[in-house]
Amino acid sequence: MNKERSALHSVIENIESVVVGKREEIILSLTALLAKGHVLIEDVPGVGKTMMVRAIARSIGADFKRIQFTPDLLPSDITGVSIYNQKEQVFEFRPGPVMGNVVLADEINRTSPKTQSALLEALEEGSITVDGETRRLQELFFVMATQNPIEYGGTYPLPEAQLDRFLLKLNMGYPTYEDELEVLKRVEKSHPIDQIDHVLSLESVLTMQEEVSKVYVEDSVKRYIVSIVNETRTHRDVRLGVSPRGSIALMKAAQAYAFLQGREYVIPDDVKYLAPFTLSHRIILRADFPVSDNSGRAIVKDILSTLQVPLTKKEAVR
Amino acid sequence: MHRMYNYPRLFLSYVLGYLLFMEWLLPLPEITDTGYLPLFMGIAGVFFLITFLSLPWWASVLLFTGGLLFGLHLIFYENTFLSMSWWSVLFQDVFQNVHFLLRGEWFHLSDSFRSFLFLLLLAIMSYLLYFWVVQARRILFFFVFTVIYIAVMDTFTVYDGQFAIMRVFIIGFLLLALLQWDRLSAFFIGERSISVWLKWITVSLGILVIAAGVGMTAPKMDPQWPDPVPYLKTAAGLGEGKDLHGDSPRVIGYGENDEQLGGGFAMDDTRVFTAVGEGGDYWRGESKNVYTGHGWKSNTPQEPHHKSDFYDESVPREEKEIEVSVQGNWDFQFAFYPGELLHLQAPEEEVETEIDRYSGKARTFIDGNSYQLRTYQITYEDPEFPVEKMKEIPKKDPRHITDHYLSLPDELPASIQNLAEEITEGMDNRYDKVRAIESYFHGPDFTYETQNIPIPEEGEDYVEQFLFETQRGYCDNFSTSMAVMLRTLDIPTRWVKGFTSGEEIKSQENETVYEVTNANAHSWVEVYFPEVGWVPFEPTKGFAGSFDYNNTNTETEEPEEQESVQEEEKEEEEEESKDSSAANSNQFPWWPFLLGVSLIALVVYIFRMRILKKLIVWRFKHVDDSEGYTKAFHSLLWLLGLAGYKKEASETLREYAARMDDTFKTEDMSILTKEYEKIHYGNQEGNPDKLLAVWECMIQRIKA
Repeated sequence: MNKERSALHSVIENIESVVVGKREEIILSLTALLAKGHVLIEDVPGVGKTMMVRAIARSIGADFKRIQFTPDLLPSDITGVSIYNQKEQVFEFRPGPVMGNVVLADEINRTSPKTQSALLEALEEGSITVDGETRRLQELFFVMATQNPIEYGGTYPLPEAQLDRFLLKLNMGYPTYEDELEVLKRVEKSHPIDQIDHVLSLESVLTMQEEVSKVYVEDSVKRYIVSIVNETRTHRDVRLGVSPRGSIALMKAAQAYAFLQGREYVIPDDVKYLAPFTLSHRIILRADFPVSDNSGRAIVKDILSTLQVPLTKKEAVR
Repeated sequence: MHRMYNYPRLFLSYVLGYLLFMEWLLPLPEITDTGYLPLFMGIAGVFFLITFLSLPWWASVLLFTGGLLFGLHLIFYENTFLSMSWWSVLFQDVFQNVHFLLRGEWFHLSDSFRSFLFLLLLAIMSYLLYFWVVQARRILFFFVFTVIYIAVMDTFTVYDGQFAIMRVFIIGFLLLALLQWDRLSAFFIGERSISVWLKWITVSLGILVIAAGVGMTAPKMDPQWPDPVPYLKTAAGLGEGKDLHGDSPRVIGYGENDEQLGGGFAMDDTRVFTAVGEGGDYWRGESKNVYTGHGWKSNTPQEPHHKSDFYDESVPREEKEIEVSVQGNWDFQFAFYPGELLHLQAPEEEVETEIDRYSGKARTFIDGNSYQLRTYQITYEDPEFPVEKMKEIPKKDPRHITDHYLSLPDELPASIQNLAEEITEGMDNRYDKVRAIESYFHGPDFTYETQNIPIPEEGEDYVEQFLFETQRGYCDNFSTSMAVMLRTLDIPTRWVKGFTSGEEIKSQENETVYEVTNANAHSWVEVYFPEVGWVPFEPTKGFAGSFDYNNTNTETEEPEEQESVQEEEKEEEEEESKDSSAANSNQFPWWPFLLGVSLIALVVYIFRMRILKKLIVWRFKHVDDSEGYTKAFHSLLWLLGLAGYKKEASETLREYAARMDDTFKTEDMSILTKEYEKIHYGNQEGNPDKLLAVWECMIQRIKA
């Protein structure tokens, strides 16, 4: 446990040497990685999303692929395509970027729903179907998708069912004054991304993913999760609440987060901390509710501020 | 948080606290039978000193015990201090009193044991004040209570709190200023120099002296509310009063001159006489027949008689005996007696008794000279007035009655007669009319009060003033008004003065000891009924009278029933006498006892956190498993909640722990919480024994 923890710690440090002042986002991304989930980052371009993903990929020695979503992108641009080899007279499969370990899907809402769903199928199924043949993706498969804020023009918003497939949704945000200054200093001579090396092997990440699922979740914590999710379904400003998939996601994320904290069990604090990141993008607000990027998060926080935290088995909610 | 102690300053504050507490003791001798006050104050001082020294607990206990025993010794024991016989007397005393305590016989507790409890109380108080002054540095609560206490004592008892309240004012505010300095100076570490302190105290004292001076010299309004005491006393049926002496305010008592009634008076509990025997009846002194408009006088011819002659032969009566011993220096040259006096016997054999036929005054002589009896035995008849007979349509009153008992002053306002006629309208017999008037005075319009009762001016009528203006007054107002109103209806009446039955202080089978004090002086009305005689009535509000009226029709009802009715009545009487004896047990100084209990409750309340901490620490001292640790942790949460740091329902344990650590400037709570999480959420065995010390530290840190 301690060894793993120090390894993870060095991963975090590794990434931090590239991305300045985004420790929370780094930890959350690693949480998603360990929970076998994917991350959706909603933010303006240029705040370091790509750098972070690349740093993660480098730190764990993973194969990094990048897909830039454009309106004319085709599903086959993602999955790969079979090309006829005239010399050998066979169709040869050229794997698309989705066959990598760590994939950055940039500006996912710039492309058509058809292409979007090709990626999202991969996210959920862990496999793709090309030319009638189902191909398994890499065992370690981690997607970080970015999307432009919905106010932006020329975007196809992701449907609810597809948003549901992301474990966490983050916002990067602009760096602080000091952090930005630090960024300038670091990139003055050469980009730090070229200097980092992998500190964790792909195999050990896979092992950790296995161990994460063994992190103990006490009954009262499960009840806490279910209570939170239930509250989103009855909240007065919510049209559609969180699905059971959301409950599962919250628990998985909490397990991974606890693991990252070096704990073998989940505590309500994990759930409370992760709930806004895990649930806010799964909530559909009422039409009359003033929509903004953070409205889902505000509702989750509202629920958390009133909901009783289970103290003992006897005192737990419901 | 470490606290800097400045012992001389704290000692000054503590001494002021002691002085403030002494104000609680000062009224005690006046309202209870507490003696040796300086001694108690001295012992309290010693206790305070012991507490201030903050010795190890065993030394304090030892010193307290020593002081306590020595105090008791000084007051009660004659044997050599701490000698064998001394101890045996002490143990005997303690044993006996514990026995009484367990049986709830508070009345029997010996003086020494009560003093013992009192001294214990003083010791506890010394600690309480130490806590307030030295530890909490807050005294406002105690100060306010002292003021309330003095105010209550001043209002409801004979204690005069005028100077006490001034002393309390100065001591209390000075103490507040001192303690405020102590609290403030904690924030300005650099400003602790003695000269600043002196300035502070000088300014405080200056303001205090000016305020006190202004307060004393400024003109003050008269009380805006009537004195609540008489009302309360009347409501409780305790009020008594008679005013027969000169100018207002006077001391209640029995006097001879009643020509100028009115004015307030002060209660006086001086004993007049004690009576042993079958009693419970009003003591008649004499009656007067002429109403002057301001009071009563007598103009009946003196006709000495060998026995009083109040009632007709036909009135059933019971013969009783009672022995009277007059107290101290009272100078009555006549005897008080209940009912109809048959016979008076004194140790001095040559004593002659002459009973005035009209006034009923029983003068005593030796060789033709007035003689004051010290003790005498009376044989008297306790009548039972036949109501049916009194209700019969009036027969004519005899001449000697109408001659003397109907006169009214010429200038008597007509409104009195109008009122009397209005009250008795539609009634056809004398008894009903008399009862109607009597109950009119027991109605809600009238208030029993002994203070601020005006004396009618020249040209004003005493009865008119009471009936239509003040409607407040005591027995003289009520009895005179009733007598005069009845006379306006041509019903012969006379005004009787004497004493109520007095306080029953001891009761055994047939013999009861009554104590009659000056405060029992009273006046009432006798109404003449042909063929019955002079029947007494009690118009004074809050008084029940001791007269027996027989409401059953003796002629028509069967004897058996009559008996049973009589038995019932007897039972009722017994119950009544029980009630009155219960009321009389007020003799037991309840209030110091209650004060003690409430003080102990207060101490427990104030030290509740400490007590709870001790209990909790003691309970979980030997915790070594996870289950015990969980319980201990819950106790900690509960205690924190009690101290005002409640965990929000939506707060996780960690958030709460962080908040607590922030409050108490520690990290213990987070450490404890992590262990709890491990046991509870991690389903793991913890190592609570290591954390018990941390837990105890955290418990001790809690402060309300």
